[in-house]
Formats: sequence, C-alpha cells, structure tokens
Amino acid sequence: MMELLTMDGHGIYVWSAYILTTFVLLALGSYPFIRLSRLKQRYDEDNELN
Amino acid sequence: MKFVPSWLNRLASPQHFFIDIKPWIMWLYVLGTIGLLVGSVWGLAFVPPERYQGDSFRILYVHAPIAHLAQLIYISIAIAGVVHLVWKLKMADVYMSAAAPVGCWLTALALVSGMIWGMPTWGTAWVWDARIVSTLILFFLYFGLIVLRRVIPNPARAATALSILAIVGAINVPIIKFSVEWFNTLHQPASIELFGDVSIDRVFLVPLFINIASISVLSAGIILAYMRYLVVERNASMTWIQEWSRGKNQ
Repeated sequence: MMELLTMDGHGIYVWSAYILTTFVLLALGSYPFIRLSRLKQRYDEDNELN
Repeated sequence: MKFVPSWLNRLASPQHFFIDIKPWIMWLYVLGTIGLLVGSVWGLAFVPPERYQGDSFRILYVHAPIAHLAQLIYISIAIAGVVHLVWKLKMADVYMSAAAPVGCWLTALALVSGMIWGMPTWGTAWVWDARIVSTLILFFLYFGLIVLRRVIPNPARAATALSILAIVGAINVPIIKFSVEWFNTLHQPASIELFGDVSIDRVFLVPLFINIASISVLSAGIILAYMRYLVVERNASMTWIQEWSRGKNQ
C-alpha cells in the first residue's frame, strides 16, 4: 500500500495530477446541474410572483 | 436538408433537444465515470513502472486523454462554427457556448498535469517548447471564445464572431499535433498514430485507450448537460420552459 502511495518518490507528482484531474472533472460535471437547478428555482419564484 | 437524419433534425429544435437528450446525459456520465475509474486504477496499480521514467509515467493516463480531448473539442467547435455560418442553426451556437468552457478547463488541466509531469522527468515545470506553447495558445483561443460571447451584447453577432474565431483558430490544432515533428522539442513524440505504428507496449496501452474513450464519453455528457442549461436560459420566455419550471414537463 505504501509503495502505491510513494511510488518510489514520484507519488507526490502522480497523485497530485490525479487529484487535480478528479477535482476539475467533478466541478465541470456538477456545474451545469447546479446552474440549471438555480435557474429553475428563479423561474419558480417568478411564476409565484406572477 | 434531406441528407440529415430525422433524429438529428429533431435535435436541432431547442425544445426537442431539451426533452430527448436528458436520459443520454445520465448514461454518458455513468459510462464515462466507470470507464475513468477502471482505466485510472489499472494505470495506477496494475501497470509496471516505465523503464526510464519510473512511476511518474502514470501521469500519462490523465494527461494524454485530456490533452487529446482538448484538441478534439476545439475541432468540433470549429465545425459547429461552419454549421452556424452556413445554416444559422441555433443549436450550433449553443454547442459552441457550452463546449468552449469545457475545452478551456481541459486545456488548463492538460497544461498543469504536463507541468507536474515535467518536474520529475525534465527537471522543470515549464519550457518554451513548441508543443507546450501551442497548447497555451489553444488555452487562449478557448478563453477568447468565452470572452467574445460575454462582451458582444448582440447574440447573433456574438455567435458569428465565435464561429470566425473558432474556424481561424483551428489552424492551431495541427500545429499542436505536428509540433513534436516540425520543431526540436523536449516533449516526447506521439506514442499513438491513427494510421501508423504504436510505439508503446500493449501493457501500457489498454488503460490509456480506456481513459481516452471514457473522458470523451464523460465530456460529451458534460457538454450536453451544459447545452441543456443554456437552452433553458436562452428560451426563458417560451411556454414549454414555463411549463417545465412548473413541473409539467421534466
């Protein structure tokens, strides 16, 4: 397990690349759904006012 | 347009696109995520270290698929630009607006993961190398597409400007591709050629192909989801959007 984490001294580079990729893909993947849900909420509020 | 299949014709309508594409998005997210998990775990834990680079070569499994896709998305935006200029299709403009930020983030990620990989292999994070500089230009082109959309208030003019920049900027993609052959670069030459030899062993290749396919599928899902959001935003006054917001049409 430690071997997989340290990767003979290269672990810091490898894992930081993978963690950064995961973070960016998660953010990119969730962004359109968050925006759509906020937009729907805004339209709902507008409908209630009308 | 008689040569266009009927299902594609249907998707050119924002309303039909909004309804029809929803189940596809879910499947693309699921398949892309599972594929990326399989390819990444395979590449991290089950592939032997590379002879010269040791374990640091494992960054290849995120860096190369993302860099490939960043270029592919730009080409697709340029094609959408041509479609918009020729046929004035609304959905082509929506595609350009949705794909540009995704491509921009993927290019940034390709640059940063390349910098991280450069530290143990080249001894430096940045060199003014032809491949890296042309990828940086790709990032600025994407950034230009996003900014153009925001600074031009007239949507039709903004779409035309986006199309022109996308088409002109597409010349940069073959420059990125062939930069390692045309110039003396520190960046390694292509490991996989579409119509040529593969210079890496099959042991290393399988997870790479899995991740290339998976990131393509996941990005398609993300772009379609973003397009769906833009369709709602740009058609706020339409009855079917109002019905959707009231929960009548999901």
